[in-house]
Amino acid sequence: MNRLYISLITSFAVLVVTAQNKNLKSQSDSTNHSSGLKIESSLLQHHSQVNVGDALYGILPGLNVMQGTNGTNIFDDAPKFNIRGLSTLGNSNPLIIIDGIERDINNLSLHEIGSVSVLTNAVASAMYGVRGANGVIQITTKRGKTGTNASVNYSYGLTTPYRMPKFADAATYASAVNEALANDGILTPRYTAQEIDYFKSGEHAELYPNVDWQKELYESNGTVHQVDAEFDGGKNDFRYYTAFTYSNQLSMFAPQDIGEVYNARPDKLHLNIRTNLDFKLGSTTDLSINLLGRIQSQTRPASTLKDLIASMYNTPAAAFPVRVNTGAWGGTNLYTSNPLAELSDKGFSRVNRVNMLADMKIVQDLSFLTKGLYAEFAVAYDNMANHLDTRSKNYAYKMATGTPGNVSYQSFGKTTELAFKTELNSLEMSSTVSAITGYKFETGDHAFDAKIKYEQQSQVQDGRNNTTKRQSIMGIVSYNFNNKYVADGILNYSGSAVMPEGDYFNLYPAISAGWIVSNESFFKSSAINYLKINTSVGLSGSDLFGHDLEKQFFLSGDDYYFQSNNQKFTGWREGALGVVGLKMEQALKADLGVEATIFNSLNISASYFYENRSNILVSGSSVISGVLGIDVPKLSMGEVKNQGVEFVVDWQKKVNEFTLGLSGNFTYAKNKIINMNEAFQPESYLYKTGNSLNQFYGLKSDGFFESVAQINDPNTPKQLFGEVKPGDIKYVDQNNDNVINEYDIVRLGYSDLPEIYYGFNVNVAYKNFGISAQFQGVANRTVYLNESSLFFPLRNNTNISTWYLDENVRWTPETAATANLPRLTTQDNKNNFRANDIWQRDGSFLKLRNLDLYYNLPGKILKLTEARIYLRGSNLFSLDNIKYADPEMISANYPFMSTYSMGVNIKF
Amino acid sequence: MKNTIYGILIVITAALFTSCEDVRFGDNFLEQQPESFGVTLDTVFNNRFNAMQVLTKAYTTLPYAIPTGTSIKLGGDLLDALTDLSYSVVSYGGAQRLYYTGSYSAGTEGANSKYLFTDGSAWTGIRFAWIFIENVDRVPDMSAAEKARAAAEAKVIIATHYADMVRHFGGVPLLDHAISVNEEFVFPRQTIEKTVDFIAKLIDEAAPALEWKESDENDNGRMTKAYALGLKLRVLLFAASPLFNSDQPYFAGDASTKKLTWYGNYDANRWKLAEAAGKAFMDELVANGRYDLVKSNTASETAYREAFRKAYFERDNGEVLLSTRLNFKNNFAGRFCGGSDNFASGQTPTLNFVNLFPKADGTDFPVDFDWANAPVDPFANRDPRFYETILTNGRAYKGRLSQLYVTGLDRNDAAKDGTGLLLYKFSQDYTSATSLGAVDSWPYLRLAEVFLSYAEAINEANGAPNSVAYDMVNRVRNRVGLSDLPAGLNQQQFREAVLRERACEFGYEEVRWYDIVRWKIESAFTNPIQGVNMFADVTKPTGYRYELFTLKARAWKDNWSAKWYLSAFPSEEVDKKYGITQNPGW
Repeated sequence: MNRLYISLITSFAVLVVTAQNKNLKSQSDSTNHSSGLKIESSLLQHHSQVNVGDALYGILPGLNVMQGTNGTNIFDDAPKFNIRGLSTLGNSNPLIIIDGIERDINNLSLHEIGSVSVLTNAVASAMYGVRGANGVIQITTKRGKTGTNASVNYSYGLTTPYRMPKFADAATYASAVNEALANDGILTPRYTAQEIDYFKSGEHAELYPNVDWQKELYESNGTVHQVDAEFDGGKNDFRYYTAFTYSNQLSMFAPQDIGEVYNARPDKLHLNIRTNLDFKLGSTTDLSINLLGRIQSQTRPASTLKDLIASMYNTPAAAFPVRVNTGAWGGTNLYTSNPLAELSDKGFSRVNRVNMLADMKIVQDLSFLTKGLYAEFAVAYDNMANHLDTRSKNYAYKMATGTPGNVSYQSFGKTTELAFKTELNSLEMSSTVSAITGYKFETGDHAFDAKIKYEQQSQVQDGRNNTTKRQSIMGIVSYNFNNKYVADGILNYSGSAVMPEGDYFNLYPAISAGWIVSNESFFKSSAINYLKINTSVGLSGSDLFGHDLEKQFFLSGDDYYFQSNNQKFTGWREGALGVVGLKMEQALKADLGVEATIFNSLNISASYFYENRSNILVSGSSVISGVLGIDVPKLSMGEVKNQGVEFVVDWQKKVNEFTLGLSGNFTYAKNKIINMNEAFQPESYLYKTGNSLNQFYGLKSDGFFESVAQINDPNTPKQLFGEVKPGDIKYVDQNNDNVINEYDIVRLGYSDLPEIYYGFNVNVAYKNFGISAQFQGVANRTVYLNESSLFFPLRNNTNISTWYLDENVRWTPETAATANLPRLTTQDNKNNFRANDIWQRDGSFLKLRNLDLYYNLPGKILKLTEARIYLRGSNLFSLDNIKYADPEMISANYPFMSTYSMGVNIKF
Repeated sequence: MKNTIYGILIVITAALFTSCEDVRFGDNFLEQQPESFGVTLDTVFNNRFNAMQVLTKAYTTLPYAIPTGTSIKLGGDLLDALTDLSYSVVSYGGAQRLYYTGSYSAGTEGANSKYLFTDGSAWTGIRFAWIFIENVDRVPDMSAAEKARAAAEAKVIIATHYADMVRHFGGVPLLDHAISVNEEFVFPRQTIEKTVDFIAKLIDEAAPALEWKESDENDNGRMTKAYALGLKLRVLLFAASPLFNSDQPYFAGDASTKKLTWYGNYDANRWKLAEAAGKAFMDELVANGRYDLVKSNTASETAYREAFRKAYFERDNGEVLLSTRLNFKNNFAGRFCGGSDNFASGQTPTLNFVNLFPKADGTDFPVDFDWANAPVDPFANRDPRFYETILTNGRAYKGRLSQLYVTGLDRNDAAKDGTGLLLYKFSQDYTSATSLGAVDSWPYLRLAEVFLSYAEAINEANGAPNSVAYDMVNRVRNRVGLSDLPAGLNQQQFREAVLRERACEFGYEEVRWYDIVRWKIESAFTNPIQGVNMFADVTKPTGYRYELFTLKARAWKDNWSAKWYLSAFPSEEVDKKYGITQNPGW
């Protein structure tokens, strides 16, 4: 097999040799296809985030980074990336390429990064074939420079939530429950005035507790330590770069010391060691080898974090004491989990992750065959393993009942020993092989760079259907006419194993062209130093869907008990029918842009982009009869159009000892569903087709019901979601059928993914002082406040927040005129608690994502090249309309943190 | 130099490819895909063992009324909760959410409704049964007789699903094969006549290949000829009843014009067909035996109750013609009653139901019973089936006596919002033996129903009951020690007696709903639903006081519409335009 590869290279080489031109000149790289703005490590040096993704908010034009949540491990909350909005009903994850290989960004630490760029244009997407449609984030790691350089960095940070929900204290909660019960028609209050007084005074706290659960579980802050050391150097024929990163993050959860052998306080430490080596083997051969070893260890309580936080939110202050007077954990028959016990006394879980990433590239100048000919060969082998160690136990708790002075206890649950479970949680191996043969030549004003690239990638994971394989062969030609006209063309024959046999490959052509107007002889402007117009158009694909969709299989099905002694028989279940005419998801991308430099200090660019995504897999069930009897196959017929504009500004000015820099970017992307194979809808406004992806839908409210008479008025549309009482939400009857039901749902606001995404950076330096601030914002975004206790109070024995009680006006007969929230109720109330504009909010925000204040120590103290001390902060403030919660995290979860850190960086 | 370079390249690539052997190029590379599941239709039908698993899957789709979750029909409620016999207090159940409130509509059909037209398992069962029938001939290691019998079982499974569908929806799309991907997806609703004939034909085709009762214990639980013939009677009786067999449609509309909801006329011969189906069953029963009502050895209340309990509860008691067996030994009673141990019961029997049960001697319970001056136990001395169906105060329960008076132990939870009485059938005395260890089979069709259906068919076909009809009803009554029906009843009186007998015998067994629907008994929907509260009251000589009360009226009480007799088709299925005409009124 390897002979195939060799012959591939040699045959192309021969092809090029025969076409060689004698007039060869060395020529600078004019590759248009790698356009897309780049950030260099110099910008990232103002950041201290442990997760690389957290340093990228608003930095790169076109890269939409939104905070993400991970319900299991606090420190795995990696942000979610999208490039230039959303274009698909399927998976929209962009491709992340690190040193030329598809890899997880979370393997890196910030210091290793040399540059990050976002590839958006059609040629760049086509280069990545079946993985290119969602756009590409390209990261390169640092490489050694000549000489000997060293840099050491240490920082210590405190993390605090910049917003935390507040819940009612016990007395307020008790009054709210009484009010809710009265609203529900139950006139005997659950809590007497005497009992409410006990809650207030703290008397008989065992029976009338007042517990601030967040205070019980959280300390005021978490911490983060980071140490980095970087060394690089070498001579012409050998250069090295070595980095060492250690970080230790500690959450603000504070488990109680219960004398157990473990401490379940969530933490994470990671250690990265990277070595990048460059060799010159002789005069024509370059070899580089990159190695990254990473170990990471995370601890958390054995109870799922999301459940733990939900129980902290949903347990009212009045429910039960942390511990009853006997010392046992508190709890009741209704509230069966004690949040502090869930944190401290359930055991723990530890994940150890070991990653080994290795790649090697060899570049051979083949000028001895033909001038300008070269070959490249690269191979990467990555190995990732996750080891999970869970030791869980249960705890017993007691419910105190009775009256003051006459307390009795009822016991629940059982304390168990720590149980052991150790498993290899996941294992992933991936290998990538690529080879390039290229030929550069110039003749007169014409310069060409042509290459053929072959690439194959295999990712093998444990579990079923987790293996992906891809393969591409492509030809790329770049052309430059006297630095006035540039053009790139690509033809990529790219395939993926998710497709049926015989349909693996698709052809992805793309071209781009640019005109550097400022290089024309007629162009004479002292103001405009550089002006370029460029455009690209092309195809790319996305194979992020399951295997074997075209086939039908029988699977093990349900059980039935034949025979009088109940023998279990298992059935064969038929899987979904095969997809007929499965196609690779395909993107047609085009863009048109202008770049300019004015007065040698201001860089601006503006572009328009368009994408039409087709062959998206969509459900077939909306049109295919349910009498079929099995799962209806999906159909490759979804289509989405996405278009928008992008602006970038960058301005640098230096006056005497003042340096001022301003840069910003702005993206507006609007998508539209062209086809999602939607079922027939009785009203035109019910169709989702024609609206944006993830559009928010709900009922439009029309105030609150004032009286029973109003509800019973035959002219009032009947609301069919359940019994309605005064103070419940009244809805607009959209189709005038005098009934409010699911046919009255309309489009409300936007989606949770913003249409407008922008970021800007302010850099000021004076003498040895400097400040750098990174802002990021979004607009045209809608959020839905539907978290129980936080926003939906008291239902199913949940809690109530100060948002409902104090920040807003709930309906009572007295506040009917000014109320903006419905009445309190203890019931499920499907009428009020459903998607509607009462719970919908403008999700726009502007956040200060990063702030760096630094001071460079003057002179060459202690013979150091450079020494800097700094104060940094991340996520310091947010301007938004939610105020009560983080606009990017409405649900019950570990809060997003502001980080305040101080550190020192020394370069030798 | 050149050689050095190639040398390096070759060494590296060779080292690479020998170290990881699965590196391949070209199509060969992409094909190296681990097959996750490779079981195809051909594999399944290449031996008996696998093929029979397809039939097993079809069995798992059979109707099963024991609540196993909230995503099933009625959200876990019981069909009887929609009748005058029972009132459900399960707040998440379909009765409370859709039917009592009247918010059921074509838009909500499919979630929490009483029959899930496409969200249930019926169409899957029909598909698997046809796949089996179409492919069983390919199986090498099965005898022709075995194949014929297994295919006949599959046909009866199809007939069973259609029997339920026709009773909820009227005429439905009739599938006579498993639909393939490439055919035109047009499946129009068929007329009542065609639907009923289709079911009868399936049974007629299947019956000869089936055993009357399995001769081999290993076949226990499979379809039998006895069940198939009993099912045919059930369907023909329903078809002959006034809902479908009438001069007038129950509700005018497009579907009625197309005769999808009725026959289009009244034809007395339909009752004759039902009678004939009953006679066919009885002839076989006489010839083959092996089935009988479960009877008691002694004439005591305890023994009668035991016999009755065995009759509905045990899967292989000689009386159950088909028990469906989707589960085994789960928290049966907890689920049946809608909750965990401390949520005692979600189903509360109504006073309307209580009043249907005769006294132990077979005479009627007085309609004008003086509840104000009731004795200590006004529920004493009743039909033994009463105590097996309904829990009243002071009966053996949870290892003690039940406390159903207000503030009593068993009135703590759900019962306080219901009728004041609790369900006893299936859950029984609610000990760990009857709940956690129970064998959860569902008595889909019992011999007692065949007897009562045959009696009814004779009465309707001949204008009056004859001695056979009396004998049929009396067998059911005598089994629990009740006296014979009084002689000399006219057609109307006998019909009412049979319907009442069916209510008492089959309470909570999904018979009552179909009875009130097929006879279009509007009063069963619109009569007030009553409950009875018992208070501890020292002023009364008995120590207790009883108060009757009317439960919150169901939405259909005050604006009754005959549309409720049949379900609505889900609007999304109508909108797919493959041939569903919506039922009238929806």
